[in-house]
Amino acid sequence: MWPRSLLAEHPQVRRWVGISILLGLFAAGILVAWTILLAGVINDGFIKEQTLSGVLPTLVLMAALLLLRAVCIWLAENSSQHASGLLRRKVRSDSLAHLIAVGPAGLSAERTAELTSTLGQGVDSLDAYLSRFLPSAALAVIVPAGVFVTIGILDPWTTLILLFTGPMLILLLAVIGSRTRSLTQRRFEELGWLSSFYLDMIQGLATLKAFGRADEGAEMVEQVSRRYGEATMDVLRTAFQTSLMMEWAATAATALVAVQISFRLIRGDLSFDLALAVLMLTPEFFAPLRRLAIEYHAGQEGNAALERITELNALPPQTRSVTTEGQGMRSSLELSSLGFSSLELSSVGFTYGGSDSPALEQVSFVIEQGQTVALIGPSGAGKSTLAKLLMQFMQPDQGQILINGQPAQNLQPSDWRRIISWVPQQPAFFAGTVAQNIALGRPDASIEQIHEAARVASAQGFIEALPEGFNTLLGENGLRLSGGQRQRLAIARAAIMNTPVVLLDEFTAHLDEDTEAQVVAAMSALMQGRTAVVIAHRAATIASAQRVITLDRGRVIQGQQ
Amino acid sequence: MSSTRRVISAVGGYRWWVAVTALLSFITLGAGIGLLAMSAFLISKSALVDTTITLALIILGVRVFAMTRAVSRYAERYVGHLGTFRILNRIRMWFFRGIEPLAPAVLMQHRSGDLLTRILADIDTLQDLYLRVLVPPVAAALAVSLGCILLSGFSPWLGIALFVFVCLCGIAIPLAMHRLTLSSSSSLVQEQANLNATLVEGITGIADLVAFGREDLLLGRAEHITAAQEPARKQLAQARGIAAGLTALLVGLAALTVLGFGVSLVSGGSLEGVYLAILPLIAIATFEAVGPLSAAYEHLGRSRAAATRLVELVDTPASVAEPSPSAKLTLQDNTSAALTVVDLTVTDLSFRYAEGESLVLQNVTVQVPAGSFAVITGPSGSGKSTLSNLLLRFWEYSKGSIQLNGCELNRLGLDEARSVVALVAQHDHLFDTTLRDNLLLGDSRADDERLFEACDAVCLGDWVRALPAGLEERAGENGNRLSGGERQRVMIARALLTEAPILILDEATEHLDEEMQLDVLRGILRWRSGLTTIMITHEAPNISGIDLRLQCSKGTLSEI
Repeated sequence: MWPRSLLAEHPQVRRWVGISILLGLFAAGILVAWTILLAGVINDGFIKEQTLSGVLPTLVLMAALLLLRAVCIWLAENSSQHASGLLRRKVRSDSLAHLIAVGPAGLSAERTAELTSTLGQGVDSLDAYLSRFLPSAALAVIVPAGVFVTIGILDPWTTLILLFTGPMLILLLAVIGSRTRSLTQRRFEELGWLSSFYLDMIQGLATLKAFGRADEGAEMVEQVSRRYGEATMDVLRTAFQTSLMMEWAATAATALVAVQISFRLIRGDLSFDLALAVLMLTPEFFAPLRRLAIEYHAGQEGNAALERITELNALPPQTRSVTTEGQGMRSSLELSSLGFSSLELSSVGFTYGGSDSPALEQVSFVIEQGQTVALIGPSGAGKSTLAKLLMQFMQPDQGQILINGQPAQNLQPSDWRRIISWVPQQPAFFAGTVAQNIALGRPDASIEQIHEAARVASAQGFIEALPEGFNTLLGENGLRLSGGQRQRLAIARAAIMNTPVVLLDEFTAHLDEDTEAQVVAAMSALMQGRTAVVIAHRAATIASAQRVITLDRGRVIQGQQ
Repeated sequence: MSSTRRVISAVGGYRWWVAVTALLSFITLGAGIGLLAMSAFLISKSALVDTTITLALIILGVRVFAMTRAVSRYAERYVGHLGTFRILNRIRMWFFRGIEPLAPAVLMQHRSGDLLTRILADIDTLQDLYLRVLVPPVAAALAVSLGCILLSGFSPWLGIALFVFVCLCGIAIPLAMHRLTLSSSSSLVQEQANLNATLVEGITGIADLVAFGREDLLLGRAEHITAAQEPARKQLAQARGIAAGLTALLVGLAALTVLGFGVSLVSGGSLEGVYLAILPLIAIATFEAVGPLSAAYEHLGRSRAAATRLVELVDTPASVAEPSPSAKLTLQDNTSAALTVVDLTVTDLSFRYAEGESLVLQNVTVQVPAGSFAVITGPSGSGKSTLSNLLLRFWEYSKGSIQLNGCELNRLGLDEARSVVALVAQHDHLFDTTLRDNLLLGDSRADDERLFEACDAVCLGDWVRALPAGLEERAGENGNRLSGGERQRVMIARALLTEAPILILDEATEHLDEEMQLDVLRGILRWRSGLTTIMITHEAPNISGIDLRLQCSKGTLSEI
């Protein structure tokens, strides 16, 4: 099972969980001793008819035991929290780092909100798994055994009843547990689905309103919530049924013990203090098992989250590690020292998973340093696929991309991206100021550099008109910026990178002619001595290109060399 | 009124159900007290070798209490959770309806991951408010009364002693812990929202982050937030540990006190020894009701923080309000026929998004007669889109007038205003469902034939027919499975289906090449003959049939 290997991988976490279990055991041991002493005191008062001063020393000892037990409980809680804190941080960082390595192309089939709920709440649910389920599972094995031995010493006959009921309860738990497993799995999937649905509704709320459908949206929100509630209830119902059966079995056994003891007491086979001790210890035999039945649900939830996280970690990464390919190291050094000389596509083909027709087929061309090349073609011709390959968000299925004459596979994509900068079709912006968003790839850029980049993209005018200029906070979606303004911010963001190669993906689509002319002029000034790949359909951009490559249905139909 | 109370009263319908759950919980606890007391009594009686008839009665009592406890616990949990989920569904709907008026003007200031946390995790947190904050005190009060009355039957002092311990454990500890952890609880709720916001933002923009080598904006921030949560989590665990330890200590001490007291009563002759074993066990069983109270503080703190996050958003004033019933007008005449002919008259309209910002529209005056095709051109950022935001009633205007058929726009009901104007804008959303569902948003009664007609009008029909799943094809998150051009055309087809009297195309064809753009425009105009179409664009299309050409520049609009 995965969780176990997870613990094996993190010895520190395992140590803290171990400490927490030990403390729990200690507390349980104290309780057993305390219960026996309690029976003794009752015996002293009832049968031996002692006075308060006679039992006082025992009472004081018992109070001391209680104090010790309280400290154990407190420390156990702390150490299990410590363990889950360590694990939470580790698992979240590792999985996120992996997702980043999988990259945008690899993640395009995943849903944002589902990933968010897995990495957020999913990772948090490991908390309950580690700090509640694991300790109670361990205690459910050890404590009943200890109580069993203790009762065996006090009164061997009673152990016969326990010997019969104990394993039955464990069996019961196992049978029901396997049933809840699939239910919990389904509930976790339902949570991912619910998250995606709600994010979609929130992001599309204005659109719903515009179509006068907000009311239906609210109904759907309630319906989906109900479905999730039902899935949760399915899990809980089984959990409650488990508890009910456990409780019934446990109380039936306790009642049986009580009756059996009372008859033997009447016949004089058993002394009162022993009988009382056994009677009060019997519930302690079942208590850890009942507790496990309650925590089982928390455990399953963590398990479901872990399974999904394992699945995510199995997605193939796009970034190869440098250590396994020594050659990569060398070529990246070469790149940074020699710069860029040529980019060549040699019979490149790419087919998306789930599609039978290739998005790109036999695409070959060479772009020399300093050239401006336009890529044109109708919608669906494969321009965007080509852009993703050029950015190394994914690798071609066939043929190869050569950079400076070397296969791109030998290069770290992150090194290549220090040479190429990108103006995407639909740029994403991040919480922060306008200046911070321009300086995305150069967080250490000076104010002057940021202003200069804005000037190049002719974005300075509108930025300065914003309420707080460059320090205006830009919302997740670029606040109220128009398409053209967003595009110019994206250009500024690329301009500040100052890279030898730029890739512009339909970047003039949102610009009016005046601005477009300005931007094209600024970009060509910037591109002096640089290489540019422009994906476009407007004449203005194509005019400045030295070469035009035309794509149609995944093939180059014009401009191939 | 505290925010939790505000949420509770907004959805209502909880009283009877909290009462039933608490009652069931009390039966469980009472049966637990009975079970332990009876068992101890059974053993004690047996030691005295009583008649078997009394013993049989006691044994019966033990069984009845045992079975009752198991069943009522099951019922309590079942009813409790079922009721909570019903209430949570209602809270979700209440919240969604509450934030609906805020879109997009107010909501755009919040990150969508944060909003997602509110509707999902924050409302889930409120589950604890009902089950772990409201129910336990009621059940505990009843069970404690029972325990104390039972003990008082033996000696009033026993009852008082138990009561003192119970109050320490059930009132003093929770209060102290609540004070201690209030800030941690609420910061945890806030950090969870931050984490989700960072994750949603980072995963959505992962291509940009990777391309610019800024993976740290996702990874680093998430790590930072996770680490920042640690002190609060540590403090909560600390409090939990202390509360659990103290509770265990107090249970034991209460049992010991009652027992010691009982021993002196027995030796003093005022109590029969056979009852001695019952006393500590009643004390222990009574404490079962008080245990959950020491955890209630943590849930209360979190619930409060979560409820505050819901209420603060729902209570934010919307930028546009429904007109008061007395001022409300309607465009509909007495006939039930759908309105098709609407003249748009804008007079002297000025607008700024916020106080202190510059004017986006300045004294705009324009007339668009019903059925005409108007083209508004102008540089990016000149205020063209603002006009559509105002027409859709997303923002309120206060200077100047916008009239539809001579009727002031802000005196129309919001639903009616939006049924008159349809918009296709760049930031429109495609839902992560099938193409059909997305199209049906325009007209829920349209059949497939009609949907294909609309697709054909925007040169999309053949593409849809060629898709493996046709109209059942999924659009992906915000249409990310479609190319830019396909996405725009689906949005146009959706808007065509509404047959709204006025359609605004706000840079709606910018991802299409020139030839395609003209084909799509011709299709749109054919579809909408007799209806008003306003096209906002950078560059007027080379097409015949433009009735009105307007130039937008620095917030002013002029005919050309």
